[in-house]
Order: sequence, then C-alpha cells, then structure tokens
Amino acid sequence: MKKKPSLSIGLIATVILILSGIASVQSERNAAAADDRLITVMNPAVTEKFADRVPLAPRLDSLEGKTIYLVDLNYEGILGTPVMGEMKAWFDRNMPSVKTVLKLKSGSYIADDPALWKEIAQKGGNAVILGVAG
Amino acid sequence: MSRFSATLEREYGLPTVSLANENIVSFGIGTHFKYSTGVPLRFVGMPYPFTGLDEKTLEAYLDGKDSVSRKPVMQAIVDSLTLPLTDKEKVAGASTDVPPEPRFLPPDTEDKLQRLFKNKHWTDYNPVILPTEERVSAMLRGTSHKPDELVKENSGTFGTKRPFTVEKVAIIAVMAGAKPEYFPTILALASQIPYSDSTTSNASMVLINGPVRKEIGVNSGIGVLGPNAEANSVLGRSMVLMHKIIQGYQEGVTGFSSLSNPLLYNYVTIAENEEALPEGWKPFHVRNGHKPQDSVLTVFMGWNFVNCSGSVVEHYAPQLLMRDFTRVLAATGAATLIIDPSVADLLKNSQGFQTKEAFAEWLSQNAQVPAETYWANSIVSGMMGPLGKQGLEPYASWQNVSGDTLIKHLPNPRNIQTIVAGGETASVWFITDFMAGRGVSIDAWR
Repeated sequence: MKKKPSLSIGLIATVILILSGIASVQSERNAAAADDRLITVMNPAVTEKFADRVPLAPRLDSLEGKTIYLVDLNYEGILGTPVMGEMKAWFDRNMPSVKTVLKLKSGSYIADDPALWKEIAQKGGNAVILGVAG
Repeated sequence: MSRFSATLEREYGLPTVSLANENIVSFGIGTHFKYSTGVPLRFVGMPYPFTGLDEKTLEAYLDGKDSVSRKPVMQAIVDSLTLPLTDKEKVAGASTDVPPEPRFLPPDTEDKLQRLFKNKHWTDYNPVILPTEERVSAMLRGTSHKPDELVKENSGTFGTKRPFTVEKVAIIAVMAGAKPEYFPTILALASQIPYSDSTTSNASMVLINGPVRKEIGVNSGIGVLGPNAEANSVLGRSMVLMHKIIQGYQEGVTGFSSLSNPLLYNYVTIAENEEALPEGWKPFHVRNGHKPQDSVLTVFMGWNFVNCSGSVVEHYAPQLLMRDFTRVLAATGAATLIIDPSVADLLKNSQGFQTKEAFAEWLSQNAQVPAETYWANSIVSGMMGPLGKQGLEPYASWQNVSGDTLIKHLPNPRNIQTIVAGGETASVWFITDFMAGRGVSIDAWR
C-alpha cells in the first residue's frame, strides 16, 4: 500500500514551485533589462573628402567641320575595341564633314597617356570620344 | 577612364564624352566624381562586352539607347559634345567640407547596434565585437603610436581621400575580435590600403614572416590554409572589415566584381613555416631584402589558387606537375607556390634545387604555354598586349608567333615566389598567380 504524501511535504513542494516561478520571472526580467541596456560605442566610419569642383570645358556649337578623336582605351585587348571602328564608320555615313581620327591609347587601360592627350590638343582636335570601359 | 577624360576637359579644354557600361557610368558620375575628379563628366552608357560580336550586332549597339539619357547612342554622343553646359556643370572651386564623422555613435542596445553595423556594411555579416571606448583603449595599448596619428590619406578605391587614424584601426581591430598584441600587425596591414579591386575575380593574400609569427601565434603549420588558428582568422577578418569600412568598398557602389572571389572571406592569411625550410632555402622576407629578425607583412594580389589535388607521386617529380599547372594561371608573369615542408624537402634533396632561387630559375625556363592560350587571357591582352605593340620584349615577339608556338610565360624568376607552410602530413602544394607586393615592417608599428 502506497503511503500518501503528508500535508507538510505537499505544502513545501508548492511553496518551492511558487518561489522558483517567481525567480524565473525575475530572471527573465533581468535578461530583458540587460538586452535593453544602452551601450555607447565608437564610430568606425571614416570621413571621405569631396574633391574640388572643376567645370566641364565649353561645348562645341556643332560637330560640322570639326576634328573628333576616337580614343580606344585598350580595354578589349590586343585587337582593340571594335565598336570604335563602327563609330568612325557612322560619322563617315551620317556626318561626313566631321573628320574622325581613331587612336589607340598606349599602355594598358589603366595607364595614363599624357603624350596622346598633348598630341590631340596640338594637332587641332576639337573633341574626344573615349571608350569603352567595361 | 574618368581620370583621362577629366584631364582632357580640365587641362586641354577639350569636350569629351566617356563611353562605358552601366557600372562604370554609375561610379564615374557618382563616387568618382564626388570624391576623386571633381569634374562632372558626361557619360554614355553602352552594353558590354563587344568581343566576338559581329558587325551587325555592333551597329545595333550604336542604334540602341544610351543608358544615361535614353537617347540613341550616337545622338547621345553628339549631344554630349555640343549641348551647352548646365549650371551644375559650371561649378568651380572648393567643395564644402563633409561633416566629420562623430567619434561615438548614439547609444543603443546591443541588438540594434549589431543591426546598424550590418546595415552600414561595416561587417562581414557575422556579429562583431562592439567597439566600446574601454575595448578600444585596451587595443591602443598594443602600439606606441598615438591614437590620432594619421595612417594614410588616400585610402579609398582609386585613391579617393579617406584619411584614417590609428584609433580608427583600433576600433576595427576590436570589431574583428583582435587581441592588443595583434594590433601592430593590423596597423601594418592598414598601411597597405587600398587593397586591389577589379570587376574580374581577383583577391589578395597576406603572408607574415619573422618573430611576430610565434609571438602572436600565426599558424604556419598543420591546417595553415584553413580556419584553424585565432590569429590567422582575426587578422584576415580585420582586412575584410578595413576593406569595407576604411577603403569604402561596397559591391555595386564603389566596386563591381561580377562573381567576386571566395578567398576574400579571409584573404588567405598565413605565416611561413620558417623553421621547416630546407637548409639553404631563405624565408620569403629574407629573400626580399629583410633581416631574419624583422617581422614583415606582405600583401599579394592575384586571381587563381590551384590545388595540386592529391599528393606528390613517385613516378612524376613535383616540379613537373607544378610546371604543367602554370598553364591555368592568369599569365601575368608571376607565380607563387605554397608548398608543404615535405615537398620543399623533396625539391631540395631529391630534385637538387639547393635554393628557392634555383627552383624559380628552373620554373621560369620550363613553364610554357601556347601563344594563343597566353593571349586569350584578358588580363594579359589588356596589360601586356599594349606593351608588345610598343615594342617591349618579350611581348612584341610573342605577338608575332603562331598560336601553337610555346612561349615561356614566366620570364622573370624574381616574380616566382615559394612559400613553405603546412604540417607535413601530406606532400601537398598550391600554385597561384599571386604577385607579391613590397613587404612592410610590422616592427615599425609596435
């Protein structure tokens, strides 16, 4: 025959359960309070400086009778950028008074070519089409 | 491209129109204009690439729409050279200063700060250690340099001005989980910003030599290339974070790498196993002019990282397979091998390479690739092709041979590096086309 638990044992167990419940709620409240705690941290971002502004060169009234340099950047490899040749052909067909000069920039596509820029200015270039970068 | 167009506009007064695909256009009229050239260039946006397209397709490109103005491409080009300047295009002079970033962020909860850091692209999208002032101060005790010392000014992609101090690096070192003793190495790494970027899938690699390896526990032995050591992981993560935060790299905004590269997750941050070098083989930094007792960090850049896919076999000497594998490299004339000490031992004692230099000389003389394969690589045709056209050897000669002619594509043995690393549990190696930058002193940042 099983022995019934005494009243005092049942009472103690009930009290323990209530107390542990209170403790659990208190613990959750503390955790929530910790999560809501405000923290001040340092800012990792750097300040990027704007470049000084430089205006564009004045534009031409029209391209009629002008010399346009088509400069291939060398982006497409050793055979050049085929679309530059197509552009030259477009000017020949559609704006025949425009003189076009096709030039391949020296060095790789990231290398500057100051000699070419100077040549374009000295030989009377009126405008430049530069491309194509991908 | 923007640099050249800006020069033509600014220095020669020549109306210029720049043709590029949409990514370059957005960079050219956005970040690069604001922070680098200051010239409001006129762009016409075109489809890309053109290689291999027939004439009709190219003609159709010219009839198509400019992605900037939505006009037909040729009309947009003509208009770019002839339409009068707008008021915005006439602005000249110093820009108003950008308000400086505050030293502290507004107080917030940990969860919200973690989210803020991710939203700002200041993380690798894993949680970071939040940089409280106390933690940053502790990090700063890892160096004798003052917190407000300028490390570098032109640190942005394409050299834009993004000045940063020792304190900024300390903040990022905390975020990455670094210990103060790692800090001089992280500062040396910061001094190498900007790291290389490309629309192609390139990556960087970090090699550490000298006493600092042992001092801070950078792995050079077993599992060296994997996530197996705190220092390697944290140093690599610091580089990831500095690339994003200091350099300002963000895909689609300041960078446009179509596939990117998985090596960017930790930048292959390793140390050389100097203690396991065969006698007569110098450590990497000593071969490049430093003293053995110097602690040196070297950043490499490249594209391919090729596994030997097994271990050395009895019937085929390791250098022969290395020679064969050079064919898949980017053919930039550089090769860097990472080899297990057991392979180094084989190369020296069985194959007779008494020094790293002797091995580099052999590989330079024996690595060959058909000319058509060599020139098929866009890195090569874009970088070396123009040099050949200008008569520079050996590229000029290589452009005049038949496609099946074998050419020695690693002409300079000085550009062939051998790094010994690993734990001798298998005779394994990697071959890469990574090019070594100049080694920088870690000691200078102690």
